[in-house]
Amino acid sequence: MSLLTRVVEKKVNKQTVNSHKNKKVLMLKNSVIGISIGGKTLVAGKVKDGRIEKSITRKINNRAPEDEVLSEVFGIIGEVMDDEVAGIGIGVPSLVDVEKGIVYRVQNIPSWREVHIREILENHFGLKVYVNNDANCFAIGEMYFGKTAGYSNSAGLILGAGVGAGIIFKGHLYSGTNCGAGEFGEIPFRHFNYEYYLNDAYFEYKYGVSANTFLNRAKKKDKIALAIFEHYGADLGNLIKTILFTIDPEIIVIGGMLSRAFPFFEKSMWEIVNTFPYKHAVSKLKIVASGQEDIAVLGAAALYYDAHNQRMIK
Amino acid sequence: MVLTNNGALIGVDLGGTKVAAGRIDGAQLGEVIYKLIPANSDDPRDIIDVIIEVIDKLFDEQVLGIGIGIPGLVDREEGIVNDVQNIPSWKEVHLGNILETHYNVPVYLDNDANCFALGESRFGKGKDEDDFVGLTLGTGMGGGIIKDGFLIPDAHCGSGEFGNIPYLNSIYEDYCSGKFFVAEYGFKGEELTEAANQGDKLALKAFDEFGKHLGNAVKTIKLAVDPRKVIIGGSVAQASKFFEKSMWKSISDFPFPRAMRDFEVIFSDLKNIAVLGAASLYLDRTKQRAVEEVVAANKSS
Repeated sequence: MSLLTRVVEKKVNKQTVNSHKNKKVLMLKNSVIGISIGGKTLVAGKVKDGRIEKSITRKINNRAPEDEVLSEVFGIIGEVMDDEVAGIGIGVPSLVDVEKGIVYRVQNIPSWREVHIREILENHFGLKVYVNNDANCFAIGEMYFGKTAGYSNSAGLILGAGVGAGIIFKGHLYSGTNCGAGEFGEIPFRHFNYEYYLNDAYFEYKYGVSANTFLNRAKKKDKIALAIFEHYGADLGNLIKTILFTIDPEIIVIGGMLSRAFPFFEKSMWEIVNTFPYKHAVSKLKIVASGQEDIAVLGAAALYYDAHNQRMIK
Repeated sequence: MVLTNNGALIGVDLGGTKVAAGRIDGAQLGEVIYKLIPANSDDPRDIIDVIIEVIDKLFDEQVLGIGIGIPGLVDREEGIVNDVQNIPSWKEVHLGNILETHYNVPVYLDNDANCFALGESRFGKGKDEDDFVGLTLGTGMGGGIIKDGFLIPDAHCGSGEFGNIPYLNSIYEDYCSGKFFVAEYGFKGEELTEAANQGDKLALKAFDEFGKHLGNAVKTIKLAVDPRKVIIGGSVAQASKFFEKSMWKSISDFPFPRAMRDFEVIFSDLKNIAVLGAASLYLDRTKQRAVEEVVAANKSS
């Protein structure tokens, strides 16, 4: 390489560096639309400076054909869209090809078997679109706007209709090769898997009463409800240990409907977690409940910020 | 693979009973030397002395750095050993500092199973793969995660401890390492391998059962970290032809078939992998640091 080429390259590098710097400063100021596709509801919000400026929640017919559900998505984005918006992030409960922006077999929307949602939305709105699964959105949302801010390594665990986690290493989403990392719910446990024992429908199935009812009863110190959540906490403790053994995070934030029962299962969960053989690691571990209602939308928007910051590295 | 044009690296593998060390010059690993350690000594310094004694035999001014694999959890930034199985006297040992002061070269510590994965990444079946899990099956079961060609930057070097994950009435290690053969069949893995080679029915059945459990472990790994490949080494891997079939049968009901289309499980028989892996910590850290420096320059300039 000649000296001249080297000098030119250096200049080019310097310019790239400067433009990155500007991006970083402007980044959170950029308005981004976050959309959460939750099966029967769509939520869209315009996020700016780390808060939601406006948001819309809409029930959809989840049994409708692919195009009909898509036009609902177009509609709700249109309602929060304005000239400031720099990009769109979407969280979907499904397997996602993040590179290509394709979602597969979306939970509760049978017609969405393979939807090239990024391409479709980018063509329609002319903006950058980022897609990821709902658990990954939750984890990155908590890092940008919630309880795991300031930690390099974290997991965001959702306990709701499904059980899964998003994983953050060094401040960035770790998705695995097929965006399949963090599917802890599918890991074999006792006679089935973790999701079977820890998802919200298990309460109704096993005890004939909904998780929500038990939650209300536990708040009134109902002994049966408290015992059931204690049992739940022990199973959850095993899942937490599995997470520690696989990815070794500093903090785990719990979201989803059952995170509201956190005070009722926290103690029994820790009893199991504390059997972890590496005392030093577990003494520093933090486990917290999310408590942020609009984290799904914030998390979808955070996909945009994560993608921009990751690009600075590559 | 040429590591460095001029200069050598030393890799040290600290086990529960002995320490092994070797030196790499250019592409060549020299003789690996061993020494027993006084694991139960009350004085943590006794074991450090043995490590220094072994390194002394390999060290000269050509050496650029030393890497050490530890059977436990370490603080890789600070070079502190926090929890070690089998060495009760070691609590918060500042091994990195002690050795750096002694030799005046960089010293890098990591978990031994992480070193195995790193060894496969730099020297073994993982050379052409950026995203994989290295799983070592011997008297125990451990693993390490390689992402984008580097060890994953976890909090305490404790990721990839798949052997400790709860499984059936205990943990995976009891079903997927040599422990399984001893507990269930009363034979060591090597004895059963020999018997299976003779066509012994019970031995073949033992491996068949083993494969089922290993298949469940592989599924768990795929669900947790979603690697492109799992590379399996350790003494038990040498009998892979007897359990590969039942392992794949057990994997076949993976809930996300799409994710399995390009997924592979391969077996490795690389010798001295622990020492090679420990030595390659030097490459892993210095190259990760080079990347981090570029990023930091981008942010601050």
